[in-house]
Amino acid sequence: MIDNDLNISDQDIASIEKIFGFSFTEDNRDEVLKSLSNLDVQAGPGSGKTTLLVAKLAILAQKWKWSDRGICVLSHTNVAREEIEKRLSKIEGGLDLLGYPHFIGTIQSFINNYFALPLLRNKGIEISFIDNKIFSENALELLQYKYNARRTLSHKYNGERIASTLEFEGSELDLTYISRYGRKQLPWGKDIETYQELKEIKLELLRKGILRFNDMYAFSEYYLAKFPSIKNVINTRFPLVFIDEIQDSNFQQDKILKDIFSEGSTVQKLGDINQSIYSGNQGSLLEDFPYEEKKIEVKTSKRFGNKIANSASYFTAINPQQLVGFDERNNFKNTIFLFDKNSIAEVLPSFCELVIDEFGKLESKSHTVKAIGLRKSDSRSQEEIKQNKNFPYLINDYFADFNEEITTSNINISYLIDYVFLSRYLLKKDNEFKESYDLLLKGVLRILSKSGSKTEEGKRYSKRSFIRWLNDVGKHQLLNKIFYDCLELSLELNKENWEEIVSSIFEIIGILLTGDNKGEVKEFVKYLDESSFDVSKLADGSTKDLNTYSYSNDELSIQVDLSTIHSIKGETHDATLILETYMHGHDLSKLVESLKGNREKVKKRKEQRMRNIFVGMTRPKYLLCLAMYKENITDDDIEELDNAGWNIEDLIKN
Amino acid sequence: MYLSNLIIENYRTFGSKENNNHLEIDFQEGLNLLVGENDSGKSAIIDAIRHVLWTTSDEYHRITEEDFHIVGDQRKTNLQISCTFTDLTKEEAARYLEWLSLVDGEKCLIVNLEATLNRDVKNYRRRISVNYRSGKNGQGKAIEGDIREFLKTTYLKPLRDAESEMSSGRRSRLSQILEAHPDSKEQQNDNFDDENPNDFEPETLVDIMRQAEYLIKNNDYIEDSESKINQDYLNEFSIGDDTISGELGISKKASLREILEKFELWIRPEDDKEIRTKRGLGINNILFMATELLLLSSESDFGMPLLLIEEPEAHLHPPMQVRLMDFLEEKAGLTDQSLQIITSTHSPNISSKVNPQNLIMVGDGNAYSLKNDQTKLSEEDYQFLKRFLDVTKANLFFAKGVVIVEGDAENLLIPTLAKLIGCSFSKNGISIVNVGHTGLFRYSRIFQQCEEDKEMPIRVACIADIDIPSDFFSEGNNDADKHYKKTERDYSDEDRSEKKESLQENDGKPVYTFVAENWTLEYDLIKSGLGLEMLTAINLANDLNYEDSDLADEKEKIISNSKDEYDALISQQEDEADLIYNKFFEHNLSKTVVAQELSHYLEEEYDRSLEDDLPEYIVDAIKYVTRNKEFEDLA
Repeated sequence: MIDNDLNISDQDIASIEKIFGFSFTEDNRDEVLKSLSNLDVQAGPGSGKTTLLVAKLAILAQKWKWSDRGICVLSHTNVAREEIEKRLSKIEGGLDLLGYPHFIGTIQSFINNYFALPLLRNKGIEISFIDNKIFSENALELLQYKYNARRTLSHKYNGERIASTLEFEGSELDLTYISRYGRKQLPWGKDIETYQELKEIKLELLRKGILRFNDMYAFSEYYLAKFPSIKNVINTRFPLVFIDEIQDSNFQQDKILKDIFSEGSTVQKLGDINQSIYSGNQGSLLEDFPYEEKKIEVKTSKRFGNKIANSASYFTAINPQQLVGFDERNNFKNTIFLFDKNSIAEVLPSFCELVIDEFGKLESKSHTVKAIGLRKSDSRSQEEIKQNKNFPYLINDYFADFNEEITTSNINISYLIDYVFLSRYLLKKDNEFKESYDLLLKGVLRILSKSGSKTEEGKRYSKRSFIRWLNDVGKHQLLNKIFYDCLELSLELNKENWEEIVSSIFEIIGILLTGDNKGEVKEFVKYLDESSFDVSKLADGSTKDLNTYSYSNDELSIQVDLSTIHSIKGETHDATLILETYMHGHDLSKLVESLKGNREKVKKRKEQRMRNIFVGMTRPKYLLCLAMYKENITDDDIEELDNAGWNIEDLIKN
Repeated sequence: MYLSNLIIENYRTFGSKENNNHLEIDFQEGLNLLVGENDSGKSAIIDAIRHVLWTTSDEYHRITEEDFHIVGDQRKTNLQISCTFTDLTKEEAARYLEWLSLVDGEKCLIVNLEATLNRDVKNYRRRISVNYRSGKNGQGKAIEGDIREFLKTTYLKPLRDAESEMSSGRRSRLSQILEAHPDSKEQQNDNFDDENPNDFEPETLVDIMRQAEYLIKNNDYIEDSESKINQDYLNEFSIGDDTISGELGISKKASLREILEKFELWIRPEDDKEIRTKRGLGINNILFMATELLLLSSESDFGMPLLLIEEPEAHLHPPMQVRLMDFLEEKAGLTDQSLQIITSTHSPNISSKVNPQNLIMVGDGNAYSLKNDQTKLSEEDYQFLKRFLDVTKANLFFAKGVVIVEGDAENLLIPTLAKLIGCSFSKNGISIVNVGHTGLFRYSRIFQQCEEDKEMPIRVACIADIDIPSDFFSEGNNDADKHYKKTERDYSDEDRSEKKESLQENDGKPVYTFVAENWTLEYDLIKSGLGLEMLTAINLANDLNYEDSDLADEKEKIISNSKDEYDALISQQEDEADLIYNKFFEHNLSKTVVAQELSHYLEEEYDRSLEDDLPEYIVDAIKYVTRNKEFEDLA
């Protein structure tokens, strides 16, 4: 379907280089831009994947000739989608790609928009919430009326979990649940009453339009199995498909996307399989990326120097790559700090001293400096904790205040006022009202949901039906005025103001409330001081003051953000310190051979470890440091590390 | 709220940000008057706003291929228009909440239009897709649904056919306006009592129509006609039980809209018994505007408080134009309803009527606000300027260049001199403005924009005397008929250049002050080589009696006598320039009259190359303002 009209010439590349101020002519990047066939781009860390993708989209936007067929760009997170949209919107013609006939969005929204939602609408189901938390709240409520299931589940240690994670799976819509270790079949036969009752819960919530995210994949599979001709339609509509950060796809997503785009669409995937650290409970590594026959590799990094590139190359576990860095950015002392139980407290200060020393060489005064480790949560027994078993075990061993909660990426809002705080926070950050407004609306919908309010058709209120109701009773503008006050950043949200806001909201929606769950509703709208609000608890990827270590000497002060390796995916730092923690063994010590620059055959567990450390090692632009527990390595190891180019700093005082 | 900023890229004459030839205008609250020559882009600006906001009258206005900017032989395929509104009331902010952005902490509504010219698969036809989004760089929510209605602005187009707009018919403009008025709602009520139709007292328009319909239906003639249609004709077409029967009436269902569509608006004749007659376009236009404004003022709580008027002067005679401007200025000035008016005009009557602060000059693909924070003029200067500007002076806003002079003589002479050296002012679109005396040159700073590198595409030349009298006129010389305390010899070279510099102190692109080298224009003309011509003009002014019967002979005589007189003068010891100039004082002559004679005389008699005989500063001024010489070459 893709033909010569779209061909990308050197001329096109030259002009996009001018706009981007970025050279695309080296290291196969131009090949990636030019290719119009199925393609797997294995691009190393810092190679500018997103820039490459945006550049290609910008060129294609100029040449795109169809007014009713589009480019489909799939990402994993809304953050990534917004990044692509933001960058496109700054390029002439880029805004075109943001609307019909093109699609830019997360895989989830693609699946929802083109498969799951049309299917559900066709079945007469109006969606109220696709939200795991709301599903769980409602499922547990319904469970109270299911005698057998309630009794059976109360005897199981994970009983609540089963009821609150009921999920459809596959084209047959099998009923499953999500255990701590992944998806499981229900442990009862289909004719057992408990099974029947759990199925009733699931179906009842389905009729109300309350679903879990993964249900949408199951509906899509159902759709594709029942009406396979849709594939041809979708492939015609989207002759060209890009999937960004392909390594973050899980097995289910990969399978369904392959199926959808199997009838003629050109699919180009971009990612770094070596950075695949997806940790979801259904995660399993993609087996056919990058596919040798359609692979293009980009190995040069625009982020770090050759020294880091070289060290990290030994950690390219799945698709071995010799990364290439800049010639400059090399004169930094990449250091391994060695410590023992008594000197672990010296690790962060010593690192900061080094950063200050080294960064005297740099012009810029503000630096992104992070210390990262793999393990954030403690699953040792009280006894083991007392014994300090498997020291150094987790990030808190280095920085006692580290709080794993703070880096969780789940949005988990329990109070209306937190919706307001979060919407104010977003407004300050983005300067646009759109997201904040939607969030406030969600908050109000939660009140209706808690009270069990129903529309005239007996359904739960969705955003759409609620707004329709507001317009019908002529109160939309009134609610907007309350939202206006909520978003008036100069207005202090003290108790008095808050109570006024809440009572005006109730004045509008009061007529819809049922009087049920009064206590719960009251709790939901209670006043909380703004100081109790911690955005990092609610929103993903934001600043975390609590997890910051500050250091200052006579000359300078420096701040180090602590976080888990999983949460710094895709980031760029100036300096990074990897903290050794324990996950089936101490991670850095177990990889000492790779650190020395020896390639060895690795098994599955080690491979996973390497991917994690690889992500960590490839964050810094200038300075990479490691903190290793000295007891785990020998003097010979130390000498070899020294020979491999690492600066060794022993913090143990003799 | 008001439209505070407009950015146009790749639309018609306006180019791209990249090439720095896009258009960006800051509008102000209240009245904004776009002035400028034809084809300068005034209409494009108003059209661009209409594309983004749409209009209440819902006329057909779509982006077409011709709207895309052309660079070289290539048509751009992407154009963008962005409107930013600031100063939102709480009511307004609440209405547009999801679409708002924070700019420097202030709530703004940014509405962007992006249009793309697409090639179709086989290039058969071109398809234009248009996207509307809010937010900076279009990052906000899409503009669709209800908000569209709120954005619609009231637009009065030029040369409208006011008569048909005010007449009845389906979806007539008049019916839309009347229907949109909030008070129309209660007229929808239907209280008609079917049981008791004859005693019914109608209250609303619908009531009236219902009762009328009832009465009509029961009118014998109508009843009779209806039954004839049914029995004599329609019955014939009935097949089996399917009878066709008709009903005769004036409205199927007495809905308010249907009633309003029957309305017409006309000018009330002075005598009630007089029959309605066709009125002039102008009067109809006033009628039309009054109606539109009715909607706008009643709607200020609901709709966009923005009024776009193109060329309001169309069909209106000058006094009416002035009245209209007064009215609009007053409307826009009312603080409680914050109506913003953006209007374009060609009319000096209108331009001279408003405060110059409200003017935006458009030209050269750019817009130049004359608001006091945009020009180098001070706030007080504007007050004076407003009084000073009259119709004859206001044409400077439509010129390519302006010459500012300090007297009537210059006003008369300089255009003639320009024409005679081949730089005709009228052909070059140059206006000449007489400010009366030198102190007023500072008003030329209205043409200087505060923003650096922003230069109005209009050349401004101020022509000034240096006012250093020749020594001949110093005290004690009895040959002179006028005496000055300080004359040439009392001025050092430094004094002279200081004097010149102080006259030029406000200069800066595009304004340049040209200063006489010796004394005054007349004196310098004599000095530079027009001695004989000036002497002749003086003699003509002094001696010629226009009531004489043989005027031509008389004139001939004076001219030839002047030649003899001139020959005699140059043989004298004194500088002939002083002697000639002294005649002004000797005979107490009006410089204006002499300038008139000189002007005539030069046009009729002069046959040499005039340029060599003119003072350099005059030649420079004329060449600068007609773009034959650059600012940089002057100093």
